[in-house]
Amino acid sequence: MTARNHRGSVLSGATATFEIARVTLTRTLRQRTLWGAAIVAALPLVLATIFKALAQHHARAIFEAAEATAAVLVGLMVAGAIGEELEERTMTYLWSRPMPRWALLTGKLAALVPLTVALGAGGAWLAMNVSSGGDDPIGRMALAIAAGLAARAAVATAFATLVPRQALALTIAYLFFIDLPLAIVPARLQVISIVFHEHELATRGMGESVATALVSLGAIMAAWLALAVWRIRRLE
Amino acid sequence: MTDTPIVRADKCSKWYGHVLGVSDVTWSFGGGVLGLLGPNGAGKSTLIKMMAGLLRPSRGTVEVFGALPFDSPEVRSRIGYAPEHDATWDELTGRELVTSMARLAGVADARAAAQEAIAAVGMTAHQDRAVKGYSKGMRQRTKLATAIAHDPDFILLDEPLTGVDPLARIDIIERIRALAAAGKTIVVSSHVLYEIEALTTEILVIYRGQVLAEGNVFEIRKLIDKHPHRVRVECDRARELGAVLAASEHVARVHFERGAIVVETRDPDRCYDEIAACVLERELVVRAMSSPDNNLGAVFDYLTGARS
Repeated sequence: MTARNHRGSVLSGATATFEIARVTLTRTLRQRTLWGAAIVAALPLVLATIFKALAQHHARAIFEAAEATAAVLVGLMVAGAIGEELEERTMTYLWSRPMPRWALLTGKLAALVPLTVALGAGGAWLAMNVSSGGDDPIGRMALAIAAGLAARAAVATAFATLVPRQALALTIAYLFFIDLPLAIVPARLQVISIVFHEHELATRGMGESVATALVSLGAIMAAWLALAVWRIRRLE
Repeated sequence: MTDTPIVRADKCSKWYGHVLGVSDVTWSFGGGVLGLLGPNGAGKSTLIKMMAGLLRPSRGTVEVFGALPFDSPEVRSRIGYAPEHDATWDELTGRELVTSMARLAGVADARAAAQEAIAAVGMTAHQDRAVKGYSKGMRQRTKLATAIAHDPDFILLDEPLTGVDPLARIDIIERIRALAAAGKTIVVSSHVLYEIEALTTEILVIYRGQVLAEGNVFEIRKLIDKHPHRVRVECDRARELGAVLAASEHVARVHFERGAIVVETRDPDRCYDEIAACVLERELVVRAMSSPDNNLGAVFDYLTGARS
Protein backbone atom coordinates (compact mmCIF):
# COMPACT_ATOMS: atom_id res chain seq x y z
CA MET A 1 0.00 0.00 0.00
CA THR A 2 1.32 3.45 -0.78
CA ALA A 3 1.61 5.98 1.97
CA ARG A 4 -0.84 8.81 2.13
CA ASN A 5 1.77 11.52 1.56
CA HIS A 6 2.37 10.46 -2.05
CA ARG A 7 -0.72 12.09 -3.46
CA GLY A 8 -0.76 13.01 -7.11
CA SER A 9 -1.31 16.57 -8.27
CA VAL A 10 -1.90 18.42 -11.50
CA LEU A 11 1.30 19.06 -13.47
CA SER A 12 1.91 22.37 -15.18
CA GLY A 13 2.71 22.26 -18.89
CA ALA A 14 6.36 23.14 -18.23
CA THR A 15 6.82 20.46 -15.56
CA ALA A 16 5.07 17.86 -17.69
CA THR A 17 7.26 18.80 -20.66
CA PHE A 18 10.38 18.39 -18.55
CA GLU A 19 9.30 15.03 -17.13
CA ILE A 20 8.28 13.64 -20.51
CA ALA A 21 11.53 14.90 -22.04
CA ARG A 22 13.49 13.19 -19.29
CA VAL A 23 11.88 9.79 -19.78
CA THR A 24 11.95 10.13 -23.59
CA LEU A 25 15.68 10.87 -23.51
CA THR A 26 16.35 7.86 -21.27
CA ARG A 27 14.37 5.59 -23.55
CA THR A 28 15.83 6.94 -26.78
CA LEU A 29 19.38 6.50 -25.58
CA ARG A 30 18.63 2.80 -25.02
CA GLN A 31 16.91 2.15 -28.34
CA ARG A 32 18.44 0.71 -31.49
CA THR A 33 16.80 3.50 -33.48
CA LEU A 34 19.49 5.84 -32.20
CA TRP A 35 22.17 3.70 -33.82
CA GLY A 36 20.23 3.64 -37.08
CA ALA A 37 19.93 7.42 -36.96
CA ALA A 38 23.64 7.75 -36.22
CA ILE A 39 24.44 5.67 -39.30
CA VAL A 40 22.17 7.85 -41.46
CA ALA A 41 23.73 11.00 -39.99
CA ALA A 42 27.20 9.65 -40.81
CA LEU A 43 26.45 9.20 -44.52
CA PRO A 44 27.56 12.76 -45.49
CA LEU A 45 30.80 12.10 -43.63
CA VAL A 46 31.32 8.92 -45.65
CA LEU A 47 30.73 10.93 -48.83
CA ALA A 48 33.11 13.66 -47.68
CA THR A 49 35.79 11.08 -46.93
CA ILE A 50 35.42 9.65 -50.43
CA PHE A 51 35.71 13.17 -51.93
CA LYS A 52 38.81 13.81 -49.85
CA ALA A 53 40.36 10.54 -50.97
CA LEU A 54 39.78 11.75 -54.55
CA ALA A 55 41.33 15.11 -53.60
CA GLN A 56 38.07 16.93 -54.34
CA HIS A 57 36.33 19.63 -52.30
CA HIS A 58 32.52 19.63 -52.45
CA ALA A 59 31.19 21.18 -49.24
CA ARG A 60 27.99 22.30 -51.00
CA ALA A 61 27.36 18.80 -52.28
CA ILE A 62 27.85 17.57 -48.74
CA PHE A 63 25.36 20.20 -47.57
CA GLU A 64 22.78 18.86 -50.01
CA ALA A 65 23.52 15.30 -48.97
CA ALA A 66 22.95 16.35 -45.36
CA GLU A 67 19.62 17.88 -46.37
CA ALA A 68 18.60 14.57 -47.90
CA THR A 69 19.64 12.57 -44.85
CA ALA A 70 17.80 15.08 -42.64
CA ALA A 71 14.48 13.86 -44.02
CA VAL A 72 15.29 10.27 -43.08
CA LEU A 73 16.73 11.34 -39.75
CA VAL A 74 13.58 13.13 -38.53
CA GLY A 75 11.51 10.29 -39.93
CA LEU A 76 13.39 7.82 -37.76
CA MET A 77 13.90 9.90 -34.65
CA VAL A 78 10.67 11.90 -34.42
CA ALA A 79 7.94 10.45 -36.64
CA GLY A 80 8.93 6.91 -35.75
CA ALA A 81 9.12 7.56 -32.01
CA ILE A 82 5.85 9.47 -31.65
CA GLY A 83 3.97 7.37 -34.19
CA GLU A 84 5.08 4.13 -32.58
CA GLU A 85 4.02 5.33 -29.16
CA LEU A 86 0.55 6.18 -30.45
CA GLU A 87 0.30 3.01 -32.48
CA GLU A 88 1.40 0.72 -29.64
CA ARG A 89 -0.87 2.58 -27.22
CA THR A 90 1.86 3.28 -24.67
CA MET A 91 0.68 6.89 -24.95
CA THR A 92 -2.44 5.87 -22.99
CA TYR A 93 -0.28 5.88 -19.86
CA LEU A 94 0.45 9.55 -20.48
CA TRP A 95 -3.09 10.48 -21.43
CA SER A 96 -4.39 9.23 -18.11
CA ARG A 97 -1.96 11.53 -16.24
CA PRO A 98 -3.01 14.94 -14.92
CA MET A 99 -1.31 17.14 -17.51
CA PRO A 100 -2.23 19.13 -20.60
CA ARG A 101 -2.15 16.99 -23.71
CA TRP A 102 0.09 19.36 -25.66
CA ALA A 103 2.82 18.64 -23.13
CA LEU A 104 3.10 15.14 -24.58
CA LEU A 105 4.38 16.66 -27.82
CA THR A 106 6.53 19.40 -26.31
CA GLY A 107 8.10 16.87 -23.98
CA LYS A 108 8.88 14.48 -26.82
CA LEU A 109 10.27 17.26 -28.98
CA ALA A 110 12.33 18.75 -26.15
CA ALA A 111 14.20 15.44 -25.98
CA LEU A 112 14.21 14.36 -29.61
CA VAL A 113 14.94 17.61 -31.47
CA PRO A 114 18.27 18.36 -29.71
CA LEU A 115 19.35 14.76 -30.28
CA THR A 116 18.35 14.86 -33.93
CA VAL A 117 19.99 18.26 -34.46
CA ALA A 118 23.16 17.11 -32.72
CA LEU A 119 23.35 14.07 -34.97
CA GLY A 120 22.28 15.73 -38.24
CA ALA A 121 23.88 19.17 -37.98
CA GLY A 122 26.90 17.86 -36.09
CA GLY A 123 27.49 15.17 -38.70
CA ALA A 124 27.02 17.68 -41.51
CA TRP A 125 29.41 20.18 -39.92
CA LEU A 126 32.04 17.51 -39.53
CA ALA A 127 31.56 16.26 -43.10
CA MET A 128 31.65 19.76 -44.58
CA ASN A 129 34.87 20.48 -42.72
CA VAL A 130 36.41 17.32 -44.17
CA SER A 131 35.31 18.27 -47.69
CA SER A 132 35.75 22.05 -47.59
CA GLY A 133 38.21 23.89 -49.78
CA GLY A 134 38.47 26.59 -47.11
CA ASP A 135 36.13 29.25 -48.50
CA ASP A 136 32.76 27.71 -47.63
CA PRO A 137 30.51 29.25 -44.97
CA ILE A 138 30.41 26.00 -43.03
CA GLY A 139 29.09 27.51 -39.81
CA ARG A 140 26.12 29.06 -41.61
CA MET A 141 25.45 25.89 -43.56
CA ALA A 142 25.48 23.84 -40.36
CA LEU A 143 23.11 26.38 -38.78
CA ALA A 144 20.84 26.01 -41.79
CA ILE A 145 20.82 22.24 -41.41
CA ALA A 146 20.05 22.61 -37.69
CA ALA A 147 17.15 25.01 -38.31
CA GLY A 148 15.89 22.83 -41.14
CA LEU A 149 15.98 19.74 -38.92
CA ALA A 150 13.92 21.52 -36.25
CA ALA A 151 11.34 22.53 -38.87
CA ARG A 152 11.30 19.01 -40.33
CA ALA A 153 10.75 17.63 -36.81
CA ALA A 154 7.53 19.63 -36.64
CA VAL A 155 6.42 18.09 -39.95
CA ALA A 156 7.24 14.64 -38.57
CA THR A 157 5.28 15.36 -35.38
CA ALA A 158 2.20 16.35 -37.33
CA PHE A 159 2.34 13.22 -39.49
CA ALA A 160 2.87 11.09 -36.36
CA THR A 161 -0.31 12.41 -34.78
CA LEU A 162 -2.33 12.30 -38.01
CA VAL A 163 -1.26 8.88 -39.28
CA PRO A 164 0.77 7.12 -36.56
CA ARG A 165 1.17 3.86 -38.44
CA GLN A 166 2.55 5.42 -41.64
CA ALA A 167 4.24 8.41 -40.00
CA LEU A 168 7.80 7.46 -40.94
CA ALA A 169 7.02 6.76 -44.60
CA LEU A 170 4.75 9.77 -45.06
CA THR A 171 7.19 12.16 -43.41
CA ILE A 172 10.00 11.07 -45.71
CA ALA A 173 7.68 11.09 -48.73
CA TYR A 174 6.42 14.59 -47.95
CA LEU A 175 9.91 16.00 -47.44
CA PHE A 176 11.29 14.40 -50.61
CA PHE A 177 8.36 14.67 -52.98
CA ILE A 178 6.59 17.86 -51.89
CA ASP A 179 8.89 20.04 -49.82
CA LEU A 180 11.98 19.58 -51.99
CA PRO A 181 10.25 20.16 -55.39
CA LEU A 182 8.54 23.26 -53.95
CA ALA A 183 11.97 24.73 -53.26
CA ILE A 184 13.08 24.20 -56.83
CA VAL A 185 9.94 25.35 -58.64
CA PRO A 186 10.12 29.13 -59.07
CA ALA A 187 6.78 30.08 -57.61
CA ARG A 188 5.35 31.80 -54.55
CA LEU A 189 4.80 28.40 -52.95
CA GLN A 190 8.53 28.36 -52.25
CA VAL A 191 7.79 30.18 -49.01
CA ILE A 192 6.29 27.01 -47.50
CA SER A 193 9.32 24.90 -48.39
CA ILE A 194 11.78 24.09 -45.63
CA VAL A 195 14.51 23.29 -48.16
CA PHE A 196 14.09 26.70 -49.81
CA HIS A 197 14.64 28.65 -46.58
CA GLU A 198 17.39 26.28 -45.57
CA HIS A 199 19.24 27.06 -48.79
CA GLU A 200 18.67 30.76 -48.33
CA LEU A 201 20.04 30.52 -44.82
CA ALA A 202 23.11 28.67 -46.03
CA THR A 203 23.87 30.42 -49.31
CA ARG A 204 21.60 33.49 -49.58
CA GLY A 205 20.99 32.52 -53.22
CA MET A 206 17.78 34.56 -53.54
CA GLY A 207 18.98 37.31 -51.22
CA GLU A 208 16.81 36.38 -48.23
CA SER A 209 18.29 37.62 -44.97
CA VAL A 210 19.27 35.22 -42.19
CA ALA A 211 16.53 36.66 -39.98
CA THR A 212 13.88 36.27 -42.68
CA ALA A 213 14.93 32.69 -43.35
CA LEU A 214 14.88 31.84 -39.65
CA VAL A 215 11.51 33.51 -39.11
CA SER A 216 10.11 31.70 -42.14
CA LEU A 217 11.33 28.35 -40.87
CA GLY A 218 9.88 29.22 -37.45
CA ALA A 219 6.52 30.01 -39.06
CA ILE A 220 6.51 26.71 -40.99
CA MET A 221 7.41 24.88 -37.79
CA ALA A 222 4.64 26.65 -35.84
CA ALA A 223 2.05 25.80 -38.47
CA TRP A 224 2.88 22.09 -38.44
CA LEU A 225 3.04 22.02 -34.64
CA ALA A 226 -0.34 23.74 -34.42
CA LEU A 227 -1.75 20.96 -36.59
CA ALA A 228 -0.13 18.34 -34.34
CA VAL A 229 -1.45 19.94 -31.14
CA TRP A 230 -4.92 20.28 -32.66
CA ARG A 231 -4.81 16.59 -33.48
CA ILE A 232 -3.39 15.36 -30.17
CA ARG A 233 -6.09 17.19 -28.23
CA ARG A 234 -8.73 15.22 -30.10
CA LEU A 235 -6.98 11.91 -30.42
CA GLU A 236 -8.56 9.02 -28.54
CA MET B 1 -24.77 3.28 -3.25
CA THR B 2 -24.07 6.59 -1.58
CA ASP B 3 -25.83 9.89 -2.34
CA THR B 4 -22.78 11.31 -4.12
CA PRO B 5 -21.59 8.75 -6.63
CA ILE B 6 -17.95 8.66 -7.65
CA VAL B 7 -18.94 7.75 -11.20
CA ARG B 8 -22.07 8.88 -12.96
CA ALA B 9 -22.76 7.91 -16.56
CA ASP B 10 -25.74 9.59 -18.13
CA LYS B 11 -27.08 8.21 -21.42
CA CYS B 12 -23.51 7.64 -22.44
CA SER B 13 -22.68 6.21 -25.86
CA LYS B 14 -19.42 5.75 -27.70
CA TRP B 15 -18.90 4.82 -31.34
CA TYR B 16 -15.67 4.10 -33.15
CA GLY B 17 -16.78 5.11 -36.61
CA HIS B 18 -19.63 2.73 -37.28
CA VAL B 19 -18.59 0.34 -34.53
CA LEU B 20 -20.49 0.61 -31.29
CA GLY B 21 -18.42 0.67 -28.12
CA VAL B 22 -20.98 1.57 -25.48
CA SER B 23 -24.65 2.32 -26.02
CA ASP B 24 -26.87 4.57 -23.92
CA VAL B 25 -25.40 3.62 -20.56
CA THR B 26 -26.95 5.28 -17.52
CA TRP B 27 -25.29 4.11 -14.36
CA SER B 28 -23.69 5.35 -11.16
CA PHE B 29 -21.24 3.93 -8.69
CA GLY B 30 -20.79 5.13 -5.14
CA GLY B 31 -17.67 3.31 -3.98
CA GLY B 32 -16.21 -0.03 -2.98
CA VAL B 33 -15.13 -2.65 -5.46
CA LEU B 34 -17.05 -3.18 -8.65
CA GLY B 35 -16.53 -6.01 -11.10
CA LEU B 36 -17.15 -5.00 -14.69
CA LEU B 37 -18.14 -8.20 -16.34
CA GLY B 38 -18.67 -9.08 -19.96
CA PRO B 39 -17.24 -11.05 -22.87
CA ASN B 40 -14.47 -9.69 -25.08
CA GLY B 41 -15.69 -6.73 -27.12
CA ALA B 42 -18.62 -6.07 -24.78
CA GLY B 43 -17.58 -2.47 -24.11
CA LYS B 44 -15.79 -2.88 -20.77
CA SER B 45 -12.55 -1.24 -21.88
CA THR B 46 -14.44 1.58 -23.57
CA LEU B 47 -16.32 2.33 -20.36
CA ILE B 48 -13.12 2.18 -18.32
CA LYS B 49 -11.28 4.46 -20.76
CA MET B 50 -14.09 6.98 -20.55
CA MET B 51 -13.84 6.90 -16.74
CA ALA B 52 -10.05 7.28 -16.97
CA GLY B 53 -10.37 10.31 -19.24
CA LEU B 54 -8.83 8.67 -22.29
CA LEU B 55 -12.01 8.75 -24.34
CA ARG B 56 -14.79 11.27 -24.69
CA PRO B 57 -18.33 9.90 -25.00
CA SER B 58 -19.86 10.39 -28.45
CA ARG B 59 -23.11 11.19 -26.73
CA GLY B 60 -24.10 11.72 -23.08
CA THR B 61 -21.63 12.19 -20.25
CA VAL B 62 -19.40 10.26 -17.91
CA GLU B 63 -18.55 12.17 -14.75
CA VAL B 64 -16.00 11.13 -12.15
CA PHE B 65 -15.92 13.06 -8.87
CA GLY B 66 -18.50 15.40 -10.45
CA ALA B 67 -16.41 16.44 -13.47
CA LEU B 68 -15.55 15.18 -16.95
CA PRO B 69 -12.24 13.29 -16.66
CA PHE B 70 -11.25 13.92 -20.30
CA ASP B 71 -11.27 17.67 -19.66
CA SER B 72 -10.18 17.73 -16.03
CA PRO B 73 -6.56 17.09 -14.99
CA GLU B 74 -7.70 17.57 -11.38
CA VAL B 75 -9.96 14.55 -11.66
CA ARG B 76 -7.31 12.52 -13.47
CA SER B 77 -4.87 13.19 -10.62
CA ARG B 78 -7.24 11.20 -8.40
CA ILE B 79 -7.53 8.27 -10.80
CA GLY B 80 -5.17 5.33 -11.16
CA TYR B 81 -5.45 3.45 -14.43
CA ALA B 82 -3.89 0.18 -15.54
CA PRO B 83 -4.65 -0.50 -19.21
CA GLU B 84 -5.55 -3.84 -20.69
CA HIS B 85 -2.66 -3.94 -23.14
CA ASP B 86 0.85 -5.03 -22.22
CA ALA B 87 2.72 -2.45 -24.27
CA THR B 88 4.76 -0.20 -22.06
CA TRP B 89 8.14 1.52 -22.02
CA ASP B 90 10.13 -1.67 -22.26
CA GLU B 91 13.54 0.03 -22.29
CA LEU B 92 13.07 1.13 -18.69
CA THR B 93 13.48 -0.96 -15.57
CA GLY B 94 10.44 -1.59 -13.44
CA ARG B 95 11.62 0.99 -10.93
CA GLU B 96 12.26 3.61 -13.61
CA LEU B 97 8.85 2.98 -15.16
CA VAL B 98 6.92 3.32 -11.91
CA THR B 99 9.00 6.33 -10.82
CA SER B 100 8.38 8.05 -14.16
CA MET B 101 4.67 7.42 -13.88
CA ALA B 102 4.63 8.77 -10.34
CA ARG B 103 6.47 11.91 -11.50
CA LEU B 104 4.02 12.30 -14.35
CA ALA B 105 1.18 12.04 -11.83
CA GLY B 106 2.60 14.98 -9.93
CA VAL B 107 3.97 13.13 -6.91
CA ALA B 108 6.54 15.22 -5.03
CA ASP B 109 8.73 12.34 -3.88
CA ALA B 110 8.28 10.04 -6.85
CA ARG B 111 11.16 7.72 -5.97
CA ALA B 112 9.75 6.92 -2.53
CA ALA B 113 6.22 6.60 -3.90
CA ALA B 114 7.42 4.21 -6.59
CA GLN B 115 9.37 2.16 -4.07
CA GLU B 116 6.29 1.74 -1.90
CA ALA B 117 4.06 0.89 -4.84
CA ILE B 118 6.55 -1.67 -6.11
CA ALA B 119 6.73 -3.23 -2.67
CA ALA B 120 2.94 -3.26 -2.44
CA VAL B 121 2.71 -5.39 -5.59
CA GLY B 122 5.57 -7.66 -4.61
CA MET B 123 8.01 -6.58 -7.31
CA THR B 124 10.89 -5.26 -5.21
CA ALA B 125 13.16 -8.16 -6.12
CA HIS B 126 12.69 -7.54 -9.85
CA GLN B 127 12.52 -3.76 -9.94
CA ASP B 128 15.96 -3.22 -11.45
CA ARG B 129 15.38 -5.51 -14.41
CA ALA B 130 14.26 -4.12 -17.76
CA VAL B 131 10.51 -4.39 -18.26
CA LYS B 132 11.04 -6.09 -21.64
CA GLY B 133 12.25 -9.18 -19.76
CA TYR B 134 9.21 -9.38 -17.50
CA SER B 135 6.71 -12.24 -17.57
CA LYS B 136 3.03 -11.52 -18.04
CA GLY B 137 2.38 -11.69 -14.33
CA MET B 138 5.25 -9.32 -13.57
CA ARG B 139 3.95 -6.89 -16.16
CA GLN B 140 0.48 -7.01 -14.63
CA ARG B 141 1.92 -6.29 -11.19
CA THR B 142 4.03 -3.46 -12.55
CA LYS B 143 1.00 -1.97 -14.26
CA LEU B 144 -0.79 -2.17 -10.93
CA ALA B 145 2.13 -0.33 -9.30
CA THR B 146 1.97 2.46 -11.91
CA ALA B 147 -1.74 2.77 -11.18
CA ILE B 148 -1.37 3.11 -7.41
CA ALA B 149 1.95 4.97 -6.98
CA HIS B 150 0.25 8.37 -6.75
CA ASP B 151 -2.18 7.15 -4.10
CA PRO B 152 -5.34 7.63 -6.19
CA ASP B 153 -8.83 7.53 -4.71
CA PHE B 154 -10.27 5.71 -7.68
CA ILE B 155 -8.47 2.82 -9.38
CA LEU B 156 -9.42 1.40 -12.77
CA LEU B 157 -7.95 -1.99 -13.61
CA ASP B 158 -8.68 -3.26 -17.10
CA GLU B 159 -8.34 -7.05 -17.20
CA PRO B 160 -5.61 -7.16 -14.52
CA LEU B 161 -5.68 -10.95 -14.31
CA THR B 162 -5.60 -11.82 -17.98
CA GLY B 163 -2.86 -14.22 -18.94
CA VAL B 164 -1.29 -14.61 -15.52
CA ASP B 165 -0.53 -17.98 -13.97
CA PRO B 166 -2.71 -19.27 -11.10
CA LEU B 167 -0.25 -18.33 -8.35
CA ALA B 168 0.20 -14.82 -9.69
CA ARG B 169 -3.57 -14.55 -10.05
CA ILE B 170 -4.09 -15.37 -6.39
CA ASP B 171 -1.39 -12.89 -5.42
CA ILE B 172 -2.78 -10.07 -7.56
CA ILE B 173 -6.27 -10.71 -6.20
CA GLU B 174 -4.86 -10.37 -2.69
CA ARG B 175 -3.15 -7.08 -3.64
CA ILE B 176 -6.40 -5.71 -5.05
CA ARG B 177 -8.27 -6.81 -1.95
CA ALA B 178 -5.69 -5.00 0.19
CA LEU B 179 -6.29 -1.82 -1.80
CA ALA B 180 -10.02 -2.22 -1.28
CA ALA B 181 -9.46 -2.76 2.43
CA ALA B 182 -7.48 0.48 2.48
CA GLY B 183 -10.62 2.29 1.33
CA LYS B 184 -9.90 2.66 -2.37
CA THR B 185 -12.71 2.62 -4.86
CA ILE B 186 -11.85 0.08 -7.52
CA VAL B 187 -13.34 -0.98 -10.82
CA VAL B 188 -11.95 -4.26 -12.16
CA SER B 189 -12.92 -5.58 -15.55
CA SER B 190 -12.81 -9.18 -16.61
CA HIS B 191 -14.47 -11.58 -18.98
CA VAL B 192 -13.73 -14.45 -16.60
CA LEU B 193 -16.46 -14.88 -14.06
CA TYR B 194 -14.59 -16.47 -11.23
CA GLU B 195 -11.95 -13.73 -11.30
CA ILE B 196 -14.60 -11.14 -10.53
CA GLU B 197 -16.25 -13.46 -8.05
CA ALA B 198 -12.97 -13.69 -6.14
CA LEU B 199 -12.83 -9.92 -5.81
CA THR B 200 -16.35 -8.70 -5.21
CA THR B 201 -20.03 -9.54 -5.23
CA GLU B 202 -20.89 -6.13 -6.70
CA ILE B 203 -21.00 -6.39 -10.46
CA LEU B 204 -22.01 -4.56 -13.60
CA VAL B 205 -22.71 -6.90 -16.46
CA ILE B 206 -22.08 -5.32 -19.84
CA TYR B 207 -22.80 -6.95 -23.15
CA ARG B 208 -22.77 -5.55 -26.68
CA GLY B 209 -22.19 -2.09 -25.25
CA GLN B 210 -25.20 -2.14 -22.99
CA VAL B 211 -25.61 -2.63 -19.28
CA LEU B 212 -27.30 -5.95 -18.90
CA ALA B 213 -27.57 -5.99 -15.14
CA GLU B 214 -26.06 -4.42 -12.05
CA GLY B 215 -25.99 -5.03 -8.33
CA ASN B 216 -24.81 -8.05 -6.43
CA VAL B 217 -25.32 -11.51 -7.72
CA PHE B 218 -28.45 -12.00 -5.62
CA GLU B 219 -30.05 -8.79 -6.90
CA ILE B 220 -29.27 -9.80 -10.42
CA ARG B 221 -30.76 -13.15 -9.74
CA LYS B 222 -34.09 -11.45 -8.96
CA LEU B 223 -34.09 -9.92 -12.42
CA ILE B 224 -34.13 -13.29 -14.03
CA ASP B 225 -37.79 -14.07 -13.61
CA LYS B 226 -37.99 -16.67 -16.31
CA HIS B 227 -34.76 -18.38 -15.45
CA PRO B 228 -35.41 -21.28 -13.08
CA HIS B 229 -33.43 -21.11 -9.89
CA ARG B 230 -31.53 -24.28 -9.11
CA VAL B 231 -31.26 -25.86 -5.70
CA ARG B 232 -29.01 -28.84 -5.12
CA VAL B 233 -29.72 -31.04 -2.12
CA GLU B 234 -27.48 -33.89 -1.01
CA CYS B 235 -29.44 -36.23 1.24
CA ASP B 236 -29.88 -39.91 2.10
CA ARG B 237 -33.20 -40.52 0.28
CA ALA B 238 -32.88 -38.10 -2.60
CA ARG B 239 -35.45 -39.87 -4.80
CA GLU B 240 -38.09 -39.58 -2.10
CA LEU B 241 -37.48 -35.83 -1.77
CA GLY B 242 -37.48 -35.48 -5.54
CA ALA B 243 -40.81 -37.21 -5.86
CA VAL B 244 -42.41 -34.81 -3.37
CA LEU B 245 -40.98 -31.70 -5.01
CA ALA B 246 -41.79 -32.82 -8.56
CA ALA B 247 -45.48 -32.65 -7.70
CA SER B 248 -45.28 -28.95 -6.89
CA GLU B 249 -46.40 -26.54 -9.63
CA HIS B 250 -43.44 -24.14 -9.11
CA VAL B 251 -40.92 -26.86 -9.87
CA ALA B 252 -39.89 -26.88 -13.52
CA ARG B 253 -37.57 -29.84 -13.41
CA VAL B 254 -35.98 -32.32 -11.07
CA HIS B 255 -32.97 -34.37 -11.94
CA PHE B 256 -30.97 -36.81 -9.95
CA GLU B 257 -27.25 -37.00 -9.34
CA ARG B 258 -25.41 -39.52 -7.21
CA GLY B 259 -26.75 -38.96 -3.69
CA ALA B 260 -28.35 -35.65 -4.61
CA ILE B 261 -31.16 -33.97 -6.48
CA VAL B 262 -31.13 -30.71 -8.40
CA VAL B 263 -34.45 -28.90 -8.41
CA GLU B 264 -35.20 -26.10 -10.86
CA THR B 265 -37.87 -23.80 -9.47
CA ARG B 266 -39.54 -20.52 -10.42
CA ASP B 267 -40.31 -19.74 -6.79
CA PRO B 268 -37.17 -20.24 -4.71
CA ASP B 269 -38.69 -19.15 -1.40
CA ARG B 270 -41.55 -21.61 -1.69
CA CYS B 271 -39.16 -24.32 -2.81
CA TYR B 272 -36.89 -23.85 0.22
CA ASP B 273 -39.97 -23.99 2.49
CA GLU B 274 -41.14 -27.22 0.91
CA ILE B 275 -37.70 -28.83 1.14
CA ALA B 276 -37.50 -27.92 4.82
CA ALA B 277 -41.00 -29.27 5.47
CA CYS B 278 -40.28 -32.52 3.63
CA VAL B 279 -36.98 -33.05 5.42
CA LEU B 280 -38.63 -32.59 8.81
CA GLU B 281 -41.69 -34.65 8.00
CA ARG B 282 -39.81 -37.60 6.48
CA GLU B 283 -36.74 -37.28 8.71
CA LEU B 284 -34.30 -37.10 5.82
CA VAL B 285 -30.61 -36.64 6.53
CA VAL B 286 -29.35 -33.62 4.53
CA ARG B 287 -25.61 -33.52 3.98
CA ALA B 288 -25.41 -30.36 1.92
CA MET B 289 -27.63 -27.86 0.17
CA SER B 290 -26.49 -25.20 -2.30
CA SER B 291 -27.66 -23.06 -5.15
CA PRO B 292 -25.48 -23.33 -8.24
CA ASP B 293 -27.03 -20.08 -9.45
CA ASN B 294 -25.20 -18.17 -6.74
CA ASN B 295 -22.13 -18.62 -8.88
CA LEU B 296 -21.71 -15.67 -11.27
CA GLY B 297 -21.07 -18.07 -14.08
CA ALA B 298 -24.62 -19.34 -14.14
CA VAL B 299 -26.04 -15.83 -14.07
CA PHE B 300 -23.71 -14.59 -16.82
CA ASP B 301 -24.42 -17.57 -19.03
CA TYR B 302 -28.09 -16.99 -18.66
CA LEU B 303 -28.00 -13.23 -19.17
CA THR B 304 -25.81 -13.34 -22.25
CA GLY B 305 -27.61 -16.34 -23.59
CA ALA B 306 -30.92 -14.58 -23.24
CA ARG B 307 -29.75 -11.59 -25.31
CA SER B 308 -27.83 -13.38 -28.04
